[in-house]
Amino acid sequence: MARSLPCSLLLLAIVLFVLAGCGGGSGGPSLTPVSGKVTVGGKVLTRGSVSFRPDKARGNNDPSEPFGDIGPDGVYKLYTGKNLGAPLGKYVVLVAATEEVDPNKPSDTPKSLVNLKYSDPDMPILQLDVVENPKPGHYDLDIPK
Amino acid sequence: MGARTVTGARRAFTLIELLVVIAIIAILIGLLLPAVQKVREAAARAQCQNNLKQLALGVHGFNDVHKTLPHNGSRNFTTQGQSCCGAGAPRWSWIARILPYIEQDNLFKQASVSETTNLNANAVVLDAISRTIPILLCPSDNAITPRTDAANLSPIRVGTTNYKGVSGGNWGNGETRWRWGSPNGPFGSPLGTANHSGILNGNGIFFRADYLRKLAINQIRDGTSNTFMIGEVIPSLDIHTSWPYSNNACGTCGIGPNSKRVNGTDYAANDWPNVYSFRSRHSNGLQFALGDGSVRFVSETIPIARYRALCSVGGGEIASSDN
Repeated sequence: MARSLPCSLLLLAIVLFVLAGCGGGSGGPSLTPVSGKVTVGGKVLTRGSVSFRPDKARGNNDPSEPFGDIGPDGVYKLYTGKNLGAPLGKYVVLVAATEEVDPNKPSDTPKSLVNLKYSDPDMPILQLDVVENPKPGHYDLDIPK
Repeated sequence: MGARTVTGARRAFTLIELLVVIAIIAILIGLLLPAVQKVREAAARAQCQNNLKQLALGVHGFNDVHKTLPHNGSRNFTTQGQSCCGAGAPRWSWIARILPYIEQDNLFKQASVSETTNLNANAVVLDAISRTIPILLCPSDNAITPRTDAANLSPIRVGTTNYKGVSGGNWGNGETRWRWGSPNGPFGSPLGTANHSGILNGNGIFFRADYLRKLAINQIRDGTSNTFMIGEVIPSLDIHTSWPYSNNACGTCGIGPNSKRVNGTDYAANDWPNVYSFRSRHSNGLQFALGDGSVRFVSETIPIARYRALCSVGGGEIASSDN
């Protein structure tokens, strides 16, 4: 047995050396959780998406574009890249929601559930600030019909 | 394991020693196999890159002869709306128009690609559009071809492609993060509220209604070495993908590269507002042919504003249109 002990140790060392390559985290800009409820004319919007675009006109030149899906309960949560939350700052908000594509008319534009002007990136209407301690409902959006 | 003293007995390996050797070999193979896989993928990527290069050279060949880039649809069309939908009109793609320049002259003649031949004109043309063109297939993706589920054409059998023309960086559909309106395409302000702007009025080199303008390669304002011309797609993830038909041979950079839902799953293949774009099976990114014929690998983490800018030809009114 004595002869194979160094071999076993060598093996153990190799395994540890290989495993040592794994792990390690990644840093990034600090993100603040943002979540709210979307309604259209008071009725819950059950699908669609929300984007917060940094508002250059009000001095926010952050390159990130926080984005979130609207769930069946009308609630959206913002992600920046793959991370939950959004950087603090001033934003314009885009909301879009459509029905699904009609399989029989695969190239038709699906019917929009929100007035298209609320998703026009060139003429944004809604504004919101991402803040440290928001009041309840700060990120809720009620869009006129 | 006391040493035996019997004369002539040879010293043998013990079980432990054997196991250790086998374990070390196993680790080495474990390290080697992924490397072999990577080499195979690199070879596939290189061939894919070569295909892109051939297509770009075909576009240049066409441009040299006709003094304009190949167009989608028919120059006989007079409105943007005529670009869609179906095989019952001469809605040929830019790929169909460069066939003679990628050594597919016989196919070009069989399909009678022109300003007047419908894609479903007769059995001979229908046979031609079902053909598979080898340089349109990327070996990293096992695309099913011909396909019978292509958008607007189904159930017609039609040859598929792993490459589409770049329509530009403007887009007015799908999730909010893909919506981007500027700069406008050659026809000025977006139609309505930016909706459809990237399809009928793209700010890139190829889009569905580009028969209404003439653009030559020397009119690309941003410079041909700064403008994406042809990109990679995965046909099984986008039913708007086949080589003969204009609405199946263009894609947008408004939608980010390798687009997926926020939860990481693929969109439905018919969800064109979110998949009429570029993607590949190479790891971490995708390749584009640029206007000058070079091919560049683009990381899928490229900032989307830069990605969109690389796909537009410069925004303004580029060239006068026919009418």
